[in-house]
Amino acid sequence: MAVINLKNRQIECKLVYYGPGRSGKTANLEYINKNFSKQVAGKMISIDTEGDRTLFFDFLPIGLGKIRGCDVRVQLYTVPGQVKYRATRELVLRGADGIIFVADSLAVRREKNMMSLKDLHENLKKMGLDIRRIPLSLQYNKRDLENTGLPIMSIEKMEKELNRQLKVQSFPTSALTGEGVGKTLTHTIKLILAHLQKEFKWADGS
Amino acid sequence: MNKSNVVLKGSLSFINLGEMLQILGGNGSTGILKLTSLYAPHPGYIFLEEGNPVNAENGELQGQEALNTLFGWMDAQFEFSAEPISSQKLIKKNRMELILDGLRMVDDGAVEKLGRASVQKQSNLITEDESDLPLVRGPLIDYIYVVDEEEFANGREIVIQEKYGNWLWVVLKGTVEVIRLMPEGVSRIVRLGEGAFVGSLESIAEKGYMRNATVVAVGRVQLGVLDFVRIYREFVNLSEHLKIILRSLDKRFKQITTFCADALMNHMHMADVKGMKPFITDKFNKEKVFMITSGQVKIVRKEGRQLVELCHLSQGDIVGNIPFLQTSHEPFAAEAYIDDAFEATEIDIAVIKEEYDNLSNTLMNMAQHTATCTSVTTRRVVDIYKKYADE
Repeated sequence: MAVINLKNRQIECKLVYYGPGRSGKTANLEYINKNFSKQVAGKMISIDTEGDRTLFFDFLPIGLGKIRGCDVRVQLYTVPGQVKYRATRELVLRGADGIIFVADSLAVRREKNMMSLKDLHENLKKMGLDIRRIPLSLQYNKRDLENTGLPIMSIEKMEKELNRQLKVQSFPTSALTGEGVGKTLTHTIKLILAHLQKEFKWADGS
Repeated sequence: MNKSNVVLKGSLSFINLGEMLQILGGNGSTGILKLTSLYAPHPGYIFLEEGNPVNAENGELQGQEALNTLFGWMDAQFEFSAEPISSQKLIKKNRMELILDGLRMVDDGAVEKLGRASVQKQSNLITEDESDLPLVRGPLIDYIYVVDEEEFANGREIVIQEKYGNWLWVVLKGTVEVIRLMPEGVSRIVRLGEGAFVGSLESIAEKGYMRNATVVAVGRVQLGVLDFVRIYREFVNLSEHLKIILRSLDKRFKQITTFCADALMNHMHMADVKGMKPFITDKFNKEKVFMITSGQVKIVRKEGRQLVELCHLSQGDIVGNIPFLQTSHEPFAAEAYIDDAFEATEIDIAVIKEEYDNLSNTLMNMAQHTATCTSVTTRRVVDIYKKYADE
């Protein structure tokens, strides 16, 4: 649910990085904050939550177009993975306009990925959101570990296990080196904007 | 805070504080957000300047520390008044950081949750089945005063000692246990069954009432939430004397509960009546009721060679035989001793009786229940002393 701020003619929307603990959500945001600093508005906020930090900052997508003459401001969040952070998770997820699900390519995290995705599905449902309709992208993160000999899952296997039903765009990434991070972000923001365009058009009947 | 500037109000159980601050933030609002909770003794305040919290107050606390505690107010009501503020800028952090950090502290348990949600805490205070506790049931339930029903699973804490709250319940089904948390452990006082009340007479009279015991569900319990406003209205319109009698009865009940909790921990209150003289006994003044205007009164019970102290009364308390509220204290089962400074005025109990007879069922039941509990707890205290004396 994007908010239209009439004072400064801005549309504020919310993009949430979701995924199991230590899958690289924080690394994604840190990379964006550092390497797209011109598009970052304000400082990055970091809250120490157990297991994962919770990050937040405002991002101004440049060159992706306006909606009805309004600038777009995207609030980027990571969600704390641990079960006990219910209040925090609800606040972050409530009114989310898009989700990037960051999956861990490490073979040992296979089940954690699936559980977290199921969790996302349920948490969205609680807020009246549908995982099949909300703008969503998948990230298969930590591809850089392929060269270290640690057992990681193939893209095909991850596609089959996580994306068979969702059928959304997925990206092999390495949040540490930044590979694929920008692509996932740009793609998902475009999805959000297209989704909002559609909603606004539908709303005024034109 | 100026009432006429209130531009937005509602309940935080619908929109939580995090969302509220985001709305006011996005709007760039300046003014005071006031929170009131039944579970807190005073309101909380958040001062906003152009959408950003710059200060907060919660009792003695100020600044971010105060703000953090307010995130735990789940059931509170809010009121935002748009007005220029002159508050100190004690908070300089980013709005979103404050919100996320506040909620994180709630999730981490670093900030206490206030409200009915907090009540749903599982208690580990009751471990064994101690069915030798006395069970107090109440008279027939007057459903007209029951506005809502609540279910509590086994072991749930319904009220928590030293937490604030004015909710009153009547037990509809099942049993609850009243316990006192002591430095050394838990003193189990009494069990309450159908028709008994959770919440005291004093809590009707006093705003920001602090609970003096914890009440835990034993098995599945169904409670009826009582119409507090209705009971409150009736209570405030009582004559001063009846009000004093009811409050004094409640005080007596609380004291005997404290003595019982102490006795269970082997702290005995042996009565010391040196220099005091008997004032009400089964032979003396036994039909009379007095309101103490000065001095001290001790209600003591003779157990063998020992004198057990049941309560300690002073100015504003009632001493004597109230025929319609039997506490098994003076004049028949205990004696009242007075010191030299004692002065009192006699109360015409016949007039009060007439007023008492016209009370609503619920208020009368509550008064009866308090008297019964006092009597049951007194018996328990006496039993403990007997056992103690034998050993």
